[in-house]
Amino acid sequence: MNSKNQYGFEQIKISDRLDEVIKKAIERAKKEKKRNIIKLNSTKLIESKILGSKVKVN
Amino acid sequence: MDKIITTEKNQPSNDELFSDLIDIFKENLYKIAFSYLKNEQNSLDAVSETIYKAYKNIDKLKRREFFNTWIIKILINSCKNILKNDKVIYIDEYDKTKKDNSDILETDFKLSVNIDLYNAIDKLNDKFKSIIILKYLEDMTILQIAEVLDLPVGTVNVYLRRALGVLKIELGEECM
Repeated sequence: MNSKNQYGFEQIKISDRLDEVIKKAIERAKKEKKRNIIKLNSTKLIESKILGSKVKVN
Repeated sequence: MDKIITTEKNQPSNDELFSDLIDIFKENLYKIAFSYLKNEQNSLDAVSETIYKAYKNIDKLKRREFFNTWIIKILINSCKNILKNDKVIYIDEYDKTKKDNSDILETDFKLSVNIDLYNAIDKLNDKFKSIIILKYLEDMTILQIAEVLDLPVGTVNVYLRRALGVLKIELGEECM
């Protein structure tokens, strides 16, 4: 941004809590992503077991 | 071979890259959110939601150089959602402004240095406000704004002109 033309936006003070909030958001997203991967893997495992048992029956 | 292994080991992980990018853009993200929401807690919520969504969907970002516009797009949607939930109503000044001209140049949007857009944008509706913030806080080009807001370039030009028309009424012609 051009330092001369700030159009009043320089009045915005960065919150002291910004870093903490960002850290928590990343942690939350990491946990959620891990949970989804586990869920997906277990679904795949169950599906493959079901498929495997069907093959045996036939 | 050893050298290759060492180089690979020294390469930052995706998580580290993401954190580095966030570190670069975090203050800008907060400023954009605050310009929109004018409230510390809501702005922090918007940034938090943005980072959460960005981390979860980072695989969808095909080119790293578009990270800035991509994350700002997420942020603006988060701000809009917060405004919706807070039921903040802004006056749509759409009809008050003058007829639009499609042949507009970037230089037509140069404003005088001392103008206080930060306070004046509260008078604008969401779509006008987004464009003013991206143009005068983020210093984006019309093309970049069009990309972030998923609008045609011509529409961005027209909205920007209308937004400035509204601000002219609010601030007085002599301020612009």
